[in-house]
Amino acid sequence: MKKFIYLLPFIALTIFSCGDDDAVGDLELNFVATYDGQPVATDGTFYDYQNDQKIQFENIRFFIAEIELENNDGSSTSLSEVELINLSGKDAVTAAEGESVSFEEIKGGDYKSITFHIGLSERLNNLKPADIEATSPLQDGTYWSGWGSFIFSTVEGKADLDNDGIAEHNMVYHIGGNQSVRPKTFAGEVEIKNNKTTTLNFEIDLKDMFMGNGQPFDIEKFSAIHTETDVMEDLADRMTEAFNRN
Amino acid sequence: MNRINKISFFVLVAIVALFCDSCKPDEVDPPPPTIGDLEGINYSPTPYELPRLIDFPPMLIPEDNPMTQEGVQLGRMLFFDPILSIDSSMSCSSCHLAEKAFADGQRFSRGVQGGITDRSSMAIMNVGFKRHGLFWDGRSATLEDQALLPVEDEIELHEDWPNVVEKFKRHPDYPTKFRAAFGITDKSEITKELAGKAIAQFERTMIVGAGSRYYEIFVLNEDLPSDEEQNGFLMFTDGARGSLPDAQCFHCHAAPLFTDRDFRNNGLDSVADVADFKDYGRGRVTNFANDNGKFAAPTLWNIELTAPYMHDGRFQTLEEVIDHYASGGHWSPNRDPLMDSISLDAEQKAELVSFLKTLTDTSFINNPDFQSPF
Repeated sequence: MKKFIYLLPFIALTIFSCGDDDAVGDLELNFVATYDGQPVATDGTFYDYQNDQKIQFENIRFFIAEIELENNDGSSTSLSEVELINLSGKDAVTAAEGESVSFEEIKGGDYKSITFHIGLSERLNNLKPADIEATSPLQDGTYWSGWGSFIFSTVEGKADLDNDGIAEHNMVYHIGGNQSVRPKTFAGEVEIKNNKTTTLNFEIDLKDMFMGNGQPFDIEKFSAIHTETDVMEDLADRMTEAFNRN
Repeated sequence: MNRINKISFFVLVAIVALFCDSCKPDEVDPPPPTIGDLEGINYSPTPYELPRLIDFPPMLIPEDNPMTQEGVQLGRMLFFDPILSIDSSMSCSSCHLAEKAFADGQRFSRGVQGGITDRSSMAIMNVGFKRHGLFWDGRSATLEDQALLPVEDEIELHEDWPNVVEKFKRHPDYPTKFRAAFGITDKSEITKELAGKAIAQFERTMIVGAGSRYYEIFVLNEDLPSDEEQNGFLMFTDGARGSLPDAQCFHCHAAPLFTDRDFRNNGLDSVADVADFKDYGRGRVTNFANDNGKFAAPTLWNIELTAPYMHDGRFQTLEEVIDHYASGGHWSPNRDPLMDSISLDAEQKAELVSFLKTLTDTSFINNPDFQSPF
């Protein structure tokens, strides 16, 4: 028994050293573009729109910024200031896999939600490429000096409006400008376990974006959007609504 | 000494040597023998400061290939030296001529022994800013990799790297140049990878723009554009918002690099199926069928000097290029969504050409640092 007493300090040390204060884990955010729940292939695949019209997608990419975990005490843990998610170049298989960004050595524990901007915060968007380090994801995006803004989101594709099997109508939607950023909080516990990787899955449903709760976006009237700020803001709202955590 | 004394002497020396050796700390290895034939040459590389043009992004420099004066100097020599070709008849500069903004003015470039390539030579300008691959199809991820490929291309230089490296080792200057640039201690350490690094360093210095009228007018505001240049600028950038047509150029050719560094099908060929493209371009690299027929959007800096245009040099003039884009190009399943017909009259097309010519930077092509050192 005496021997056991001598061991107590070591046992206590061992227990405390394994406590939550030292626990760290990794977090992966996975993004998949879907259309009515099905992964979107950017390989010419047609998706049903409305009135026998069909649409297909070519490029889907967007910035997310100011990515943070919200702690239960109201404070937050910053993960990254900006990431570029590119869901272009996908066939049926790789579309389902989506694209991921990872963050290492996050303090272990339970968080109540994750939040990020869809687009760039004003702080980031007011920077110019010349002022940003070469390794930043911003340098892989497109900056429009005429706007004084990065392109936050790009959704490009084509539509077959007359159901003849040929997608002759272009869809070029570029969202940018400080008025178009949309912060969004995705509620739900995020548990970071010691030496484990936690994966959070996000989906952006392009049918939701373009059909918008029964109010279809007028792709025939608006073929290319890059200057019309009111339409751009409508698209930013639609995209934000279409963005969900699974 | 008699024979027995000699043996005793050597045994004694051996024992003493063994004793001394056993006294050394076990964890310390003896230094390697110094056999380097270049070690006597000073190695003190000087950092190379790249010029920063207003609005230009910083260049991404690989950590394992920092810019040095010595590296750039070596790269310049290699770029202009026909030692890289099988018959010492051609160098990189044979298809990248200074007066053509480092393109070659040919629809399809010619290699050693008269072979003809299947694409037009790309102009080498601001290539250090590329991020999504080099060549028309982006098949090389880095400049370091890109620099190696033409040497072993059967049509281009048709040499093989082991042979080139042997030529470097036998050369009166190159071993010391490699030493100065990379600190090698022996010419046996010369590799194709070091050659690629040196050429990449030189190419990163080839930054264009500061001597252009565009830079003077639209960046430094030191002069006013002509009416034609201004109208062309507004159509190029959609800056007029309705009072002039949106020529849609800036989507793929945004300032300051005048390229989005992406790959697109710009409607050059009409095909019913993406498998029908004669040249798969990007699709050959990615094996993604929807990338067939896509090629890099080149920079428009010095576009006046880089005719003929497109990956296959099919257009001889800027006017032909603008006519093509105004038409919307030929339909194919993966023609870029940005390709659409644009209503431009003859005067507006001429104004666009006027604007494009403001991107000419003759100080770049005449820069003595970019000319042959031989």
